[in-house]
This record gives sequence, C-alpha cells and structure tokens, in this order.
Amino acid sequence: MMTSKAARLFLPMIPFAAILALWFIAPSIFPIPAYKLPTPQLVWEQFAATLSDGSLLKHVLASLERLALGFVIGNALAIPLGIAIGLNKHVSDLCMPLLTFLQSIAGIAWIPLAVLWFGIGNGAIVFVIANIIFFANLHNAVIGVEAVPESYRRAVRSLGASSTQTLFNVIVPGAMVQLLIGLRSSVAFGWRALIGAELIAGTTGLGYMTLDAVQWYQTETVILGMIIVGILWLVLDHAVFKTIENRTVIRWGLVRSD
Amino acid sequence: MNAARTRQGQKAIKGAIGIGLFFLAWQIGSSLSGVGSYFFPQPGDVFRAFVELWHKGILEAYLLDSLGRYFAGVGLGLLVGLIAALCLGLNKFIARMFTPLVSFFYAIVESAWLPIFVIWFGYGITTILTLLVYVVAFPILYNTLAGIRAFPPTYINAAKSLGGSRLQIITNVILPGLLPNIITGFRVGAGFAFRGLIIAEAIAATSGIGFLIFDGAANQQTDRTIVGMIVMGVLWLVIELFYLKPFEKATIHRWGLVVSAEGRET
Amino acid sequence: MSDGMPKIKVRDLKVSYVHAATGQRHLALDNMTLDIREGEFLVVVGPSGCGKSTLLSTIAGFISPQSGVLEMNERPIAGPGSDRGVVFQDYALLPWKTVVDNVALGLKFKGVSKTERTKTAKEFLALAGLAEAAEKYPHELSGGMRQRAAVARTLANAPEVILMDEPFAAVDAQTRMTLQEELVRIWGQSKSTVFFVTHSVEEAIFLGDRVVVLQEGPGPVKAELSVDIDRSLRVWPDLNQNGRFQQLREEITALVRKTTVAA
Repeated sequence: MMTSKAARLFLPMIPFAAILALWFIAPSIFPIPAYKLPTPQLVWEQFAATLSDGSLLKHVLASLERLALGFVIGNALAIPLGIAIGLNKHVSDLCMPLLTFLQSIAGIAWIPLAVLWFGIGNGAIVFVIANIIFFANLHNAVIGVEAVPESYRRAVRSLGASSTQTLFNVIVPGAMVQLLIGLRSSVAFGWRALIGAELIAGTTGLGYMTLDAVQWYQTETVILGMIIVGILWLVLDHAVFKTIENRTVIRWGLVRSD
Repeated sequence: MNAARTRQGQKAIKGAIGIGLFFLAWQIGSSLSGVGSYFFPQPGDVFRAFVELWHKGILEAYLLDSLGRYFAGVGLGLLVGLIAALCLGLNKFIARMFTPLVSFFYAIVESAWLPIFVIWFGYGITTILTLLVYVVAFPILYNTLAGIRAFPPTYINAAKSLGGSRLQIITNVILPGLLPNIITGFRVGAGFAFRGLIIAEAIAATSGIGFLIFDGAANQQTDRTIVGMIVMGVLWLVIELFYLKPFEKATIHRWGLVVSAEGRET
Repeated sequence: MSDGMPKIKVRDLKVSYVHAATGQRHLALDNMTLDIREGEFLVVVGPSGCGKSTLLSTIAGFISPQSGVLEMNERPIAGPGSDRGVVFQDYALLPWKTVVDNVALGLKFKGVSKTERTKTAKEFLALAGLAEAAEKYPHELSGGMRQRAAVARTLANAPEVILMDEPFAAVDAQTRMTLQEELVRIWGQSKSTVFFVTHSVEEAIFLGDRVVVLQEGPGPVKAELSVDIDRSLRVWPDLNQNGRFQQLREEITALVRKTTVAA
C-alpha cells in the first residue's frame, strides 16, 4: 500500500498525463488538421518562441496590469460605500435597489459604452473590470459590517471611543474576514471578465492574443493562451490570495463564512 | 405588523428616490455634457429606441433567441455536469484523483475557450451552446467533488448501521447530501453562463440581446446598446429571483445547510 | 441476565489505523478483552484517548481489527449491520429528511411500506416524547431533541445491540439528566442490549448494570464493576445522596484518575 502522502501527490498526475498522452496520439489516429488541434510540440515551440521574443510576457503583463488597476479602483470605491451602506439604514434604503439593478447588468455588457467613452484598449477594459470588481465586493463589505456584533460597538463606545475610533478599531477589523473573502472572489470575477473584455476591446493582453490568433488560424497560440490563463489564475489564487487569507483570517481564529 | 409595513413602505419610497436620482443625474449629465446622443444618449433617446425595437418586433425576437440559447445551454450543462459528477464522484479515491484536473479546467475561464470553439465549430449556435455547457458543467462538477471530499462519514456510517445497501445509501444519503453542492454549483454556473452568453453573442451570433448591445454600438446606435443593457439586467433579475432563489430556498435553506463554494457570486 | 454465551465477545483485540493527516499508523486498542452480555446495560468509561470510541466503532463494524476475536452471537463481525444500532455523539440525523423520515430510515432500507414505516416511526417518536416534531427538519430541533430523535431512529430499527457513543456529551447538564432518565425508561421497555461509552462517571453509574473502566492508551480493561444499586433508586438528583453511589463514584473516579496520571 502506498503511503497516503505520496499517493496524494502522484495520483492527480494520472489524469493530466492521460490527457496529454491523448493529445499526443490523437492526430495520428484521427484525421484532425493541425489548425484545429496543433500537437503539443507545436504549442511548446510557440511558447518558447513567444517567450524569447518577449511578446508573451507583454500580453501577460498587460492583462495583469489591467486586473490590478481594476482591482484597486473597484475596491477603493466599493469598500467605503459598502461600509456606509452597512452602517446606515438610510444610505442602504436609498442605494440598494439601484445597485442591485446596476449589478445585474453584467460588467461585460458595459464594453461597448466603455469603448465609446474611453476608446479601444486599456481605458475601456479597466473601466469594465473596475465595474465588476466594485459590484463583486460591495456586497461583502455590507455583509461584513452588518455581521459585526453590536456588543463590540457598545464595548468600545463605553470605553469612550469616538465614532471614527469605532470605525477603525471595531467596524473595519470586524468586517475584515468578509472583506478579504470579497477581495479574493472579486478578483476571480474580474479575471473572468478581463479575458472576455480583452477578446473584444483589447489591443494587447491574453484575451486579445487568443482571439487575434484565430484570424490567422494560429491555433497553437490559442491553446497556449488558454493554458496560461488557467495556470496564471491558479497561481494568483493559491499563491497570493489563499496565503493572505491564511495569514490573517485563520490566525485570528475566525472562520470563513461564505 | 403595522410598523413593519411602514418600514417596508419607507424602504420602497427611498429606493424609488435612489433610482429617480440616478435617472435625473443621467438626464442632467447627458444634456449638459453636450457631446450628443451618440456618445451619451439621454433617457428619452433610450426610451424611443426601446419603443422602436419593440414595434419592429426585433426586441421580442432577440429576447426569445437569447432565452432559447440560455435555457438550452444551461439545461444541457446541468445534465453534463451531473453525469460527470456521478462518474467521478461516487468514489472518494477517484474524486481526489480528478480534483486538480477539474480545478485546472475550471480555472480556464469561459472567454478563453471562445476562440478555440470558434475554430472548432465556427461562428454560430454550436459554439454558443458548447460554451454555455462548459461554463455550467464545471462549477457543478467542482462543487460536487468538493462536497464528496468533505462528506461527513457519520452519515454513511449511520445508514450502514441501519442496514442500508450500497444503492440505498447512494440514493438516500449521498445524492441528497450532495444536492446543496450541486445547486450551489449550478447557481454559480447559471450566473457565469449569463455573462458567457453575452460575450458569445457579441462574437459568434447575429441575433440576441448580447448581439444587440454590441451591434448597436458598432452601428453608432448607442441608445440601442443601452436598451440591450437594461433588458439584460431585468432578464437576469427575473431569472435570479424567480428561478434560482426559490430552488435554493426549497432545499438548502429548508435543510438548514450552508454550503461554501468557490467562485460563488456575491 | 443469562450466564450463557456472551452477546458480543471481544478477545485480545488489536486495532490500529492510519492517521489521515500525518499518514502514520496509530495503535488505538491492544489486548482488549471484554464480554457484552445479553440484555445488559454495559457502560465503558475512561479518559479521552483510551480507545473507548474506537472500541465502539470496531464493534459497529466501521473499523476492521488488526487481530483478535470479535464476535456477535458467536459469529465474527464483518462490517456494519442493522443488528447493531448506533447512536452517534453528533446525532448523524440526515438534514434533508424530516424527523419522522429519519426515524423510519432503517425500515425503509428493509423495504417496509411507506404507511407502515411512518406508523412505526411515529410510535417511537411518541415514546421519545417527540410526537410534535415529526414533520420538522433536524436543524429546527434543539440538541436534546435531536438526540432523542437519534435514539428513536435506532430503536425503531429494533437492533439486538444498541451502541451509544457519548450520545449526551453535547447537551446541557439539565437536558442530559432528563435524557438519561428517559433512556433508562425506554430501555426498560425494549430490553435490548446496550453498550454505552461515556467519560462521565456519574452517567456511567446512573445508567449501567456494569461499568468497565479503560486505561489511557492501548491495553487491557482496567477494572470491571457491577452497579448494585436498585434501578428504582436511580433518580436525579436523589441519587447524589445515595451512599453506594458516592462510594462507587469515588472508586471509579480514582481508577480513571490514576490511569490518567500514570500515563
């Protein structure tokens, strides 16, 4: 019997290997033209070529830069507004129906207007991503604030805290778990939409790279783009966000609650 | 009771004020900016475009096209997701083995598949449906596998001690126990599919609400784009409120379960 | 109580399992020898980590022993079965079934018709004082009510032996005493064999015909005692004043403590 640790590392490789093997063999069994399914070697060569001429890195960095910008702008707007809505019933009543409706207009649908207003390229895409990230985290900020126990607020109030002190010593840290969850899931939504937005409105970026390649039947670039999209996201999600979450949420003994 | 009703009334009034203020700002902004209705249509322009599209029957036809594609894609996706989940999921060993692969494919977002689907299936309904099936099936599969890995062994032990056979345990314990995961995955997938439909229609269709949004802009009929956006928003609210939420209430809430899911929407 | 063959016979039982997180093998039971007699209420008491829950899970058939003899009615135990009903500490009621459907589950597995099994389940719910809660879902019940439902589910399946794994550990002290009294009342009517695991000495004396003390770590039984207090005297809180109860409590507590300190 295999020890469970080795098994856990080894077993998941089997399906990956099987798919890779199938991909290798498929063209020699079925008459699939290379423009429909290029061989793994072709994709690998394309990877090496675009890596050495710097074009791949250029697209990856363009995508990540937009995601980062959209993330900062979206959350800089969403978190303060979310806290205000969570704290104040009147603000909540006034804003929530409108925001619910605006949220239901998927960010992707803003692309044409964004292109009109900001021109094709960076501005339009960042607008769309910021829009999506804003709505994705707004709700978490509201829930986070509403979930801070009233007793905490009363406790610091009776210790003589002002409302600003209450905000920064109780409300924000108390809502932190939900905020972090929101940050993470908002990036997921942003990333998802980013590739779509780049398909349509990009002049650089991974999404642009793949759809542009379709016109030239450069399917190896399309597949390379897909693999990089998958890997980049797993790295981003696991290496960056899960680590942040583990460092804070779990250290404080708080539980994820999504 | 009375106080609650007053509170509800106040809420509705304030909500209406909020929406009214938004339209007012839109009206003032668009008329003061003076950039013209191409860059920034006024609410009136949008309303006229809506009436025109409605009278010509375009809106209805597009709406039906989009809905047809959406429900066909989501239905097929649900079926594919369930079958895949059953194949990979009824054994913890296999579930563990395939989880990383499923995570990897789940991480390749739907838009990244669109170009290769276009190469494989051309511009048209096959590409759109394949995309929707993909985007619905994977969250279902992913969440079901996660549910299997975390399935409480005491439920299965309890059923075994009560004399349940393997088949009885599957139908009475495992399947209902995974239903919340399946539903959560389905809800996530249904949301992704709606966004996926818009982008797929933008690229691979010549009708539908997504097409309207992008085609309007391409033909300098920005008012049509905004009609499309609003119709889309209303459509999603209707789908969410009348189809997805009641389904969730009837199961997850009723059983007092909470499911944590990856990529869960708001 | 019969002096014939034991209902369940445990001889030199050795149980070990692989720890899921570390991947290391852990010895949980060794040289375990024990008889469970037909119709008796046997309570196993011991400090946490003494293997009492492992013993129960092994008898239930959830864990396979490494070596030794484990028999019921002179036949080896090969896996879980409806002849041994289990009441779990965390109730293990299925959240997606109503209380009455949970109680009727074992009968459903046996192929009993819907009307008949519902009727039987309702009888057992009434016995457990839960007639009103039949159509509710488990999450709508209090901890005490859930545990009553779990006991009713096990009883409705009419097992020969009932295995109870610290079933009252998660409820408050007041409810716990009520549940203990109810359990004895219900057991008095069914006369089945009970194997009950707890870490509470008072609970052990209140419930048991016999009390078995395990030592910390794998090893043979530390001590066996008969509870020679008439069942009519076993009523809370009067039992606390009973001299024999106090004596037994001191004796068993000393045994449990000594094993804890020694290890």
